[in-house]
Amino acid sequence: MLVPVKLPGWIFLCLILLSMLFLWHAAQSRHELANSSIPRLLELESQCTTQSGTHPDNLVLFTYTEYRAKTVMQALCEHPEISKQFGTITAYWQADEREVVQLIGKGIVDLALVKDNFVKALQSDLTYGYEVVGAYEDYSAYFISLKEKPWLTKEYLLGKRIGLLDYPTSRSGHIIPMRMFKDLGLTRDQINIVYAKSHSELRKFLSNGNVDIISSYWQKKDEERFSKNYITPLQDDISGSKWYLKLKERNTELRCSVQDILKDLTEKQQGYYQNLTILNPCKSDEVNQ
Amino acid sequence: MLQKRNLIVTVLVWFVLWGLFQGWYALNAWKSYENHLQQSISNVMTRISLDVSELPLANPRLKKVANKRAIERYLVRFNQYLLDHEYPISLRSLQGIEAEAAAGTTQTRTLSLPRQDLKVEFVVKYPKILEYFSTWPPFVSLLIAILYGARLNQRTEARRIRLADNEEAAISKLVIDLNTRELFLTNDEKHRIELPNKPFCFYVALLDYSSHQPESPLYHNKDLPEEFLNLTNKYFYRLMELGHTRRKRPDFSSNIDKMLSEIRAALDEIFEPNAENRGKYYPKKAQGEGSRSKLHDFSLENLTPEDFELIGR
Repeated sequence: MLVPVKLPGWIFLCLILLSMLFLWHAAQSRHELANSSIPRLLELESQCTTQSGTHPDNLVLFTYTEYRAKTVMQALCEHPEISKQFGTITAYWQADEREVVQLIGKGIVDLALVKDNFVKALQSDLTYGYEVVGAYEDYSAYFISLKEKPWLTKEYLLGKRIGLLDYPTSRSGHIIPMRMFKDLGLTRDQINIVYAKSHSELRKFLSNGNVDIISSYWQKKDEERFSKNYITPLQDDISGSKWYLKLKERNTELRCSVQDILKDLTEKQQGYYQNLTILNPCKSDEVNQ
Repeated sequence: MLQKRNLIVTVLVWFVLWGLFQGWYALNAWKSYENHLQQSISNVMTRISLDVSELPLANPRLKKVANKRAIERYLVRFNQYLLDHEYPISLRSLQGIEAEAAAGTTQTRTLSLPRQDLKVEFVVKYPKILEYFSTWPPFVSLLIAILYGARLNQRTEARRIRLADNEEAAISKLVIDLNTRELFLTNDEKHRIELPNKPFCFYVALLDYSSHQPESPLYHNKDLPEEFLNLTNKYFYRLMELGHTRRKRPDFSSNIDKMLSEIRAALDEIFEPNAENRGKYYPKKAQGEGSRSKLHDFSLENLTPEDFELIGR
């Protein structure tokens, strides 16, 4: 094989070193993290622009669940009357109680679906002018069991596994049953409390046999899994969640638009959230004034 | 032109370099993966640390239980991100709440939160063996091996030529055997030419004189130097010792041309196939018109004592 140039010995060392450098680089470039940090994964708020999009005012709303918050937000953005008064709509959602205290207590939100005990405790209705525009039904609290109707006696409840919500503000899930235990003279260590995060999780515990009794509301749908004969009422007339709207001015348009939206929403709802009562509904001539 | 031995060496070099490069690549690929893995774990732990304040984890101090569904949703979302961005790990559990993770070795890390320890489990996906191999090493090493093979060929060619030259140089050595009065070349010992005593001695003296006194000319129409004649006589006496003659010593100053002709004839025959090599052994002929009367130097140029061998001194 003919090579035009005479090859000196050191060139091979150079070639080998160059090759190793090249191979080092090739091995390195196989793994390269595109971004050096992971971006936000939790979404706790959302925003949309109204049809006009030009007005500087922002309406803030709050509900417990992401789905409801986004649905209401979207409806507000598409509403023509709302668009006249606001440029953007911001939605917050958070199940944690500590945020609710801040949002309601400082009057940060304009529209919120909360339990009225929050508002009453913080007296925000007086401070910030929160008005009830819509209310869900009052309901009752029950002890629900799988195989027998629970008795409200100390002897019966002693040693039972009882499912409660760990939210101290929940009436049917926490406050009422705890008061019942106190009234019956039961101490905390005499009953086996199992905490859940939602009423549906309580039902799951009961049907799985993780608990003997749960404390919750009763709705028609529960008849599919549990028997109405095996429930014991604890208290009636517990006020349901309410939609509060912060009205500074005599902003009737806003109130009426919000009520329209909430009414529309109930059509897509099932169960408890289907029964919404609009308080002080707008009459057509009131709007035209 | 490709010699078999060189080919074997080239192929050997190819495989050795291939092995070296492949090993080097595999080592770096592993190191690169290790770095990638550490960086990934770091990113994941950082993200979890940042999110912890918003995650509904269990809090024994406040008698709070974890919101299992919310944590599970978070883990699913997290793992989807990791999958989309080709991370080598996926999350298995957070504070005991599990998510679907890929198969592999589980590693645990603990975050020291202000009020509790948070156990994070993730699954590490190690690369397949194939990822430690690359197609580059065989080609790069082949290239270098080919160049090396070419160089080998160059050098063996050069060496072969050099050896041939040496052999030729060795071939060209003239041997003068006083025992047999014969002249021959080292490569062809069968081809011997015998010279009569007078030209023989003259030639041996000529070789001796020219090799030891390079700048001293010998003219055929002038008196020969005394040193030269001493040499001719010396070698004649040696021949006498060896029994080649019992005659009186001849006059080496006479009939120089005749002696030179005989010498030249003998040399012509000896160097027959390679006439070009006789140069330094060949007393030059006088050239041109009137050459006999001209001053002509017949001493041997470029002759060293190593160029010829005297046997039977």
